[in-house]
Amino acid sequence: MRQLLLLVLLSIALPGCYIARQTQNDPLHADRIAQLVPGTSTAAQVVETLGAPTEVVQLGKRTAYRYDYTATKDTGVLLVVVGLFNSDTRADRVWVFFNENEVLTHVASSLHAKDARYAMPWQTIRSR
Amino acid sequence: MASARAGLALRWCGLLLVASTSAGCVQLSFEREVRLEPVPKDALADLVPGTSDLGTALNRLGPPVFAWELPQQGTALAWGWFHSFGWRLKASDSNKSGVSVSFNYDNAMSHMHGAVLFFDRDWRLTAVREGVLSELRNSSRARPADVEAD
Repeated sequence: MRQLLLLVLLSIALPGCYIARQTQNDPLHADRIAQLVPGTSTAAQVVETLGAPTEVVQLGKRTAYRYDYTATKDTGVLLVVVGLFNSDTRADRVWVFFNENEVLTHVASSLHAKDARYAMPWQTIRSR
Repeated sequence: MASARAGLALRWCGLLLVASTSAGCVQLSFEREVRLEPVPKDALADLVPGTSDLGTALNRLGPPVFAWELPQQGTALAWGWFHSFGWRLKASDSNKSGVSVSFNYDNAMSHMHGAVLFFDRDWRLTAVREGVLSELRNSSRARPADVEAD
């Protein structure tokens, strides 16, 4: 009887816990980014290589494109009225800058989406 | 003795019942959230206004998170990250429980700390500011220029 009561209490007290993963946009590939050559590649070639940008920023007569792929990993523990949650968001990101003739002048990238981690709410996630 | 135990058990059951029934409208939560990576302070310190240019900044800091236009064809680039943790008491709402699980560049800036680098039309670094990105942007953002105008 006592064990049954304990089971009932536990089933009420621990209604749920979860892990979840979300991504936005398509992953970016280092080999494709490496094909971009400042001073040579045009905006059309960049779009052909990387696809449509996430954002186009007008900078006077110049432009810059942002490409990003975001990964979020969430964990949660629900204890009746107490919830413990952790969320880690990392991104692959590329910025390409063009001059007024739409020729690539600068490119910068970082690929950190794979570093997103699941962690318990009391765990500190450190950058790699 | 037996009745004291029964009373204690009853109180616990009552507390659990109240907690269970109010779980849908009140929640005490501990939330920890990390977005992106911190701006490397030593790399930031190496950038010198009047000397450093866009190429140097990108090499040291990597790609920015945001970019916007400034007057006189200047440009501002922002690097930032977000890390928060703490207890929160939530009243009932229609949103799903837990921290925001959908990263959005449009609203991410409002909570991000970091640095904004200001460049002139020749991509020469003119200034470096650190703080909350949304505040730095609001104090500097300009209406985009008409690209058709000379």
